[in-house]
Amino acid sequence: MSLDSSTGVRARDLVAGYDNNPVVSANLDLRSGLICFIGPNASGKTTLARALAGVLKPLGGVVIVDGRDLYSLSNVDRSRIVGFLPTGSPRAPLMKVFDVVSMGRTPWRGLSLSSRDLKAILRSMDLAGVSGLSDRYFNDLSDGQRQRVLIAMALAREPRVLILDEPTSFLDPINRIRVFDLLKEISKEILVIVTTHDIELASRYCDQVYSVKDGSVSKLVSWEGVGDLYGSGDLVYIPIVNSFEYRLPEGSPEIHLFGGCGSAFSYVRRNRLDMPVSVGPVFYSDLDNLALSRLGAKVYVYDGSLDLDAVSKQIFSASEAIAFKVPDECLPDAVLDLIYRNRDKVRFVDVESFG
Amino acid sequence: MRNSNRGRSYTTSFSRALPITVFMLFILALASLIVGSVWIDPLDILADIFTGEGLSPVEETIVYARRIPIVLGSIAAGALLALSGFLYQSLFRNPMADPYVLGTASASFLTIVLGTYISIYIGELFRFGATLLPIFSAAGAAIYTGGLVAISSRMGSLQLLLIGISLGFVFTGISIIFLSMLPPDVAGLLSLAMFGSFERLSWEYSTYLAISLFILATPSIYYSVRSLDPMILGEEYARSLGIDIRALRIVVSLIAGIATSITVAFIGVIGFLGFVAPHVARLMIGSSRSIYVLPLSMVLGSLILLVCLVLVRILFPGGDLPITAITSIFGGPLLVYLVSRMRGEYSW
Repeated sequence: MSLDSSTGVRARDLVAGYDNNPVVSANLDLRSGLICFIGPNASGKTTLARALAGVLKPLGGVVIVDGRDLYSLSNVDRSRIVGFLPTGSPRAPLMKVFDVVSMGRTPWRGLSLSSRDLKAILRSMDLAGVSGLSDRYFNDLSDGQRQRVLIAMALAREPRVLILDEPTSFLDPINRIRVFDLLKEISKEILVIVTTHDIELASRYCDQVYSVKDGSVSKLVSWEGVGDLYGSGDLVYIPIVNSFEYRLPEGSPEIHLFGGCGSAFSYVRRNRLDMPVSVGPVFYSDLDNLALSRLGAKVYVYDGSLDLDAVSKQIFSASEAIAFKVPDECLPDAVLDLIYRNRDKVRFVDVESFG
Repeated sequence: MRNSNRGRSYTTSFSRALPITVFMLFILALASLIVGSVWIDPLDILADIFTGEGLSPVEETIVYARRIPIVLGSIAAGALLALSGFLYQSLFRNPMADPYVLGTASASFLTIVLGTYISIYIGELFRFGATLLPIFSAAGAAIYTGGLVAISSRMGSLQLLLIGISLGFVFTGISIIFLSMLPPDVAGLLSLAMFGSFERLSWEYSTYLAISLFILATPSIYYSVRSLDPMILGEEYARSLGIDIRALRIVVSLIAGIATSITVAFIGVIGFLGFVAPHVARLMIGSSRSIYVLPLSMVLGSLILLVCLVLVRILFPGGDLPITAITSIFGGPLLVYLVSRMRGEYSW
C-alpha cells in the first residue's frame, strides 16, 4: 500500500449542505484501509458521504481525491475515480445482474462495451462473488445478493476510492458480516469509506472510526465516547458488548444476583429489570462487573480484601437472591461456598432458559 | 423463482422479436392498403408499385393519394408515441408515465385550439393550416414540459405523475370550452384531432411525421443507452455514474415532448399507445436494456396503430372513427394485465 501523500481522500474546510444551509463540516485526511463514519440519524453522515463521493457540490472547502480537486473535475472524470453506493435497496425491472454491473462502466463506455469494459465488469463481479448470478434477474435476488451486485457495479468503474452510505442497514445479521468481509477485502486494494449504524461491526472491521454529531466530525479515539455520540439518555453504551442497555435505578438493592460469567448481565437484559440490583461477588474481569457496574448496579468485586461476612449480610437484606447455574470456574470458591451454605434462601435459575 | 420462470417462458430474444414484428408490420401495412370502402386486390397493388400497371385510375388515386400516406404516417406516428412513452418512463423511472398520462398531449392540443381561436377571432393574423399546427403544438408541449422539468427535481415521480394527470384534465376541459365556441366547421376539424383520426394523414403530414421520427430517434437511442439505462436504479446512482441529471432531464423531456406534439398536430391525441408499447417490448424480450427495448417499442407502436387502422377500415368502411376510442378499448384491459405483471422481476 502506497503511502504517497497524494493518495486517498482529503477534505479541507469542507462544508456540505443543501440550499445554502450547512449540514456538516469536516477536515479529513483518509489514506487507506476501511474507514467508518458512525453517528446518530440526521447527524450529517449521508451529506458528508455524498460530498466526498462527488454527487453533492460542497458549500465551501475542497475535497481532494488522489491529489485532484474533486469538484474541479467534470461529472464524468469525477465518477471515474470515486465509486459511490447510496443507501437503499433499489429495483431494476427486467435487468439481469450482468446488465446492472455493466452500468458501472457508464463513465468509460461508449455505445457498446469494449473488451476493457468487459474485463473490468467480470473482475468486479468476481471480487464481489456474484459471477455465478450473472444471468439472473436483479429483482429476483435476495437483499444480500443485490447489495453485492451493487458493490460490483460501483467497482466496475475501477475507482480509486469506494464510498458506501449505510450498506448494511436493510440486511440480516449474516449478510451484514459478509458485506463487511467483502469491504475489508476491497480495502486492501483501495480506500473504502463507509457510513454505518452497525457499531458492533465497525468496531470489528474498521481501521479508523470517525464520529459525526450535529454536523461536526471527529476521530473516535475510544469506544467509551459512543454513548455521548448518540446522546442516549437512560441508555448506556457498554463497549465490551457494543450495545446500549438501560440504566438501572438507584437505591438500596431489591434483588441480588450472584452472577458469574456474565450470567447476571444476561438475566438483567432478558428480564429488562427495572429495579436497584446488587451483583457478586464476582471476579473483576467478569462481564457482570464490567457491564453491570456501568449500568449502576452495586457490584461486589472479589479480591483478597473483601469482607465476605459483611457482604453476605448486605446480600440477604435484599428481598430476593438469585444464583445462576454456571460452571464452578465462573465464581470464586468462597462465593460458591456462601451460596451453598445459604441454599434455602437462594433461588436457582437456569440462565440459558428464558424467564 | 416461480415468477421468473413464468416470465422467461413468455420471452424471446431480441434477434428473434425484431424480425418477427417487422414482418408483421409489413403484412399489416399491406393489409391496410387492401381494406376499406373499396377492397383492392393486394397482387394488383404490388404489381402497380413495381411495374406501374395493375390498378385502375380510381384505385390508383385511392392507394397513392390516400392509403399509402395514411399507412406511412401511422407507422411514423406510432413509433413517435412509443418513443415518447419509453423516454418518459425511463426518465421519470415510472412505469405509468406516457405523453397522455403526463398531460403533454393535452397541453399540445390546448395550444392548437388556442392558436386556432386566436387566429380566427383576433384578426386574421394566422392562416389556419398545416404549417402552423405543429408550431403551436410543439410550443405548448415545450412550455409544459419545461414546467414539468423545472418542478421535477423537487418532486417524487408519483407526485409528478399525479400533477400531470390533473393538469391533463384541466387542459382537456379548457380545450372543450374553446372548441364549443369555435364555428362548427373548424370545431369539427379540431375534434378529429382531439381523439385522433387517420383521415387527416395527407402526404404532407406523413412526410413531416417521418422526418421527425428520423430526427428524434437517433439522439434518443444514444441518450437511452448511455444515460437512461443507469437511471433505472435511481437518480442518485445515475449521478454517481457521472450523468448530468439536469441536462438529461431537459434534453430527454424535450425530445419526448416534441415527439408527442408532432403526433398531436398531425394525427391527434392518442391514449395508451405510448404507455403500452414499451411494456410489451420489455416483457416480450425479458429485458429493460434500451438498446433492445427502444427499437422494438417503436416497431410495436407502429404495429398497434396499424392494427387500429385495419380495424377502423373493417368496422367503418368509408367512415372515420376516433383512434383513441380503439386504443382505449384495447389499451385499458391491456394496462390491467400489464400492471398485474409488474411484480417480481418486473417490479419497478
